[in-house]
Amino acid sequence: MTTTTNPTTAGLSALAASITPPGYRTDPSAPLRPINWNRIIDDKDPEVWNRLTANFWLPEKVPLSNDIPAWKRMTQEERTLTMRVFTGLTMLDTIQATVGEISQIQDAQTEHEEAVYTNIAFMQAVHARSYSSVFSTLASTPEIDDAYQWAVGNDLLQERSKKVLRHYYGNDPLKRKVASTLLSSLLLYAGFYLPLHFSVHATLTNTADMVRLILRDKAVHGYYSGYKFQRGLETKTQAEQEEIRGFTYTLLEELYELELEYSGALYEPLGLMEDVAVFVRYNANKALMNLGYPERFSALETEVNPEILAALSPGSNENHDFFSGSGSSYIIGKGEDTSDEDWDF
Amino acid sequence: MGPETIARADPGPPLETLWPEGTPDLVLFSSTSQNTLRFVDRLDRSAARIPLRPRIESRLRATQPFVLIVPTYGGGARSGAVPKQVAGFLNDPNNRNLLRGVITAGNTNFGEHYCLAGAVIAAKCRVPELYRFELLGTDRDVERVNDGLARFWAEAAIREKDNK
Repeated sequence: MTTTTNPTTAGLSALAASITPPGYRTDPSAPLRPINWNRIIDDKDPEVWNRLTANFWLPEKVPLSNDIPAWKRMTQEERTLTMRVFTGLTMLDTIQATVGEISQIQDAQTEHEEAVYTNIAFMQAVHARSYSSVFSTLASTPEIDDAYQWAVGNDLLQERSKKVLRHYYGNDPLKRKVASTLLSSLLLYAGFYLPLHFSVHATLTNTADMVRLILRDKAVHGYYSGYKFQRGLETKTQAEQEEIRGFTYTLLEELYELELEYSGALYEPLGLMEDVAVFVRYNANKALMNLGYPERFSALETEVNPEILAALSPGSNENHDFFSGSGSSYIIGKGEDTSDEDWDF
Repeated sequence: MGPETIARADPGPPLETLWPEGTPDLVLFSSTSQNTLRFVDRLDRSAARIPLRPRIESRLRATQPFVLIVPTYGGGARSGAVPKQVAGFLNDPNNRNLLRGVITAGNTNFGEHYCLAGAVIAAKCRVPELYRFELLGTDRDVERVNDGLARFWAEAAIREKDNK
């Protein structure tokens, strides 16, 4: 290969001085650099990008209309609750799609992270869109309009949204990540509880399947933002790290209190709030873990109703605890065969 | 294939020499997120880490029976669940023969794929799946794994004695 020229030193230093488009805002004179997926700085970027694109889905793929008979069997109270809970979820996903994820692009530590956030933002828009698919399949236009009027007029819903939004428009990249992680891993879960609860009772099972796809995406989003948060945090001084830690636990506490109020008004009439609160605490702990922090709530406070946990993940029960002696499913030597494609021995 | 852009740090000594008295009875894999490593750091026993870049660093070779702790690369197909470094480590028949059980980190959000790596390894290597925990693990998880491993190895020692 004689035609290949070696990059000159001058060329390389120009490359090093270049910026990606979001940098234009602060340095309009700097040369712009196109994204180069052949120069990876952080292996997590392509890994998460690939996972996200492999997980891509659209609500049109879920046979939501099979839920129409179940919807007709539900009480008016249950239907109103469903409409409101899903409108609340739509609010949060709208925030994430149009502000929350987009606002993190400017904070990216690598150019590939910028691209990953565009993917996450789009997927949040798909999630927000998916609740509308449920509505148009099951409900009437007046019912849908009622739910949106309720959302716009609900002070608690507004307050918890704005409490997070404030940090997206703030000037601290790490606080943005904390706020985003708490929204995605704490606030959404009181809403996700409802379809899981219904699916336990063989109601709206296709809607629950759709929500499981959303949950899968949220896990990757939470993992990635938490990972990037920790990479950013480790560049800070001890004092700055302490400040962020304090901020995180304070915001968590405030959002948790608001969540109890907001969800309490929704779920208490059906006697579900105690169960919902456990699920919220369980997920609040997971939000903290994504950020690399220890749990806030004790094991006793986070014992999710086993039926709900099974609806979330059939493999999460005690059968997988060999240590406790209750694992009945382990007979060594009687493993199922896995193909060579699973694993190339 | 894109160019290798990872900084090639000094590979250092081969890992075997890091364990002059033999590898410990716990082996882990943790990605650059370090989540699984942080769980293992809270246990009261030492562990050997499977290298992230075995071609650059060196390969880990176990010298005594061990339990493996791995995260699941979740959300996708079954084939991607086991991190490739872990598959590479277990492709070595020496390591596979010394594997006694597997503990898995995951996230219940992945539904039926929760901790799938543990199920795949258990089935493939015919060892029990000992425990599952989420993300960094809770204090209760740490306690259960500490107690569980202590009992597991004590019982294994008794079995070994009986066989002699």
